[in-house]
Amino acid sequence: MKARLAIAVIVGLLLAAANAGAHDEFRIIGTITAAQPTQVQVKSREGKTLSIKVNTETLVYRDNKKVARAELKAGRFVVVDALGDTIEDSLALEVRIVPSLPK
Amino acid sequence: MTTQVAQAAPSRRALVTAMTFAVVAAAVVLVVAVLPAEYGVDVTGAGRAFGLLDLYAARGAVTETLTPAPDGPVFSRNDGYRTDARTLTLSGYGTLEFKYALDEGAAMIYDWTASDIVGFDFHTEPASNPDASESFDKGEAAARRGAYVAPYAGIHGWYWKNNTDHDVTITLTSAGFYSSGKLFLDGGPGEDVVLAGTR
Repeated sequence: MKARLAIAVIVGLLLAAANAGAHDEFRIIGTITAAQPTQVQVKSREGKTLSIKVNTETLVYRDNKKVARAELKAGRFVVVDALGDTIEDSLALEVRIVPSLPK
Repeated sequence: MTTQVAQAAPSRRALVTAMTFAVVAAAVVLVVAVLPAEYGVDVTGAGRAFGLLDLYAARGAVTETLTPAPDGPVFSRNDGYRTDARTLTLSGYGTLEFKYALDEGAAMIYDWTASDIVGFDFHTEPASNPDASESFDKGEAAARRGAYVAPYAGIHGWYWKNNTDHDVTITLTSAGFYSSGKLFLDGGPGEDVVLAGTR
């Protein structure tokens, strides 16, 4: 019984690892329109509004220094590197608060 | 007092006999020695017995062939070799990917330099399962060069990201056994890139 359980756990971990490897990396550049503890909404330069998940692992930088997640506020221009199966279902790995780019 | 000895000229028959022996002897020397030593032709086997074939081999006319072993240090392939050189521009905070189509076991060498430090990720998109991407070299740098042997068929190359607000130029050169290229700009759909002809 324990052996079966161990095999199931190993297979599950392998599948999870394979699934993790299948994620794509996305870069979203735009202005935060709403910020919550678990997600931020960003209006991209192309005019599309995207919800991106954030968590305690999400790194936030401003002027190349690490800052608190609370710095993610509406109106701030950000560069988000996120990972996910799709851009609409992605988790932010890193968010840089930067001066807005000229259009 | 002098003695004169009269010498009779050889008869016609003796001359013919002598010439015949000379021709036969020359033919024997030609077949037994000259042909094996000079041309590697050993009709009688005497050339091998006397080591005359070694003389011929030593001239380089007989070459030993050696085929590269599978998984050995030498990669040998007659078709599909190409070289490629291109300049790519990353806009401020922009991203792009450039990948080459390589078969399993196909090799390439590469060299890229950037006008500023960029984030990079050398990764794959297997032909059998494009979602099962693998990364092999990832980090931040302004230059990278190396060699790569594709572990499976698919497209293989770099994702670059610009972490500055200004344009960054990437100069990529490579040589290898790839068939085509694919360019993805700012996360958009990829576009096929035709590469220069095969050499």
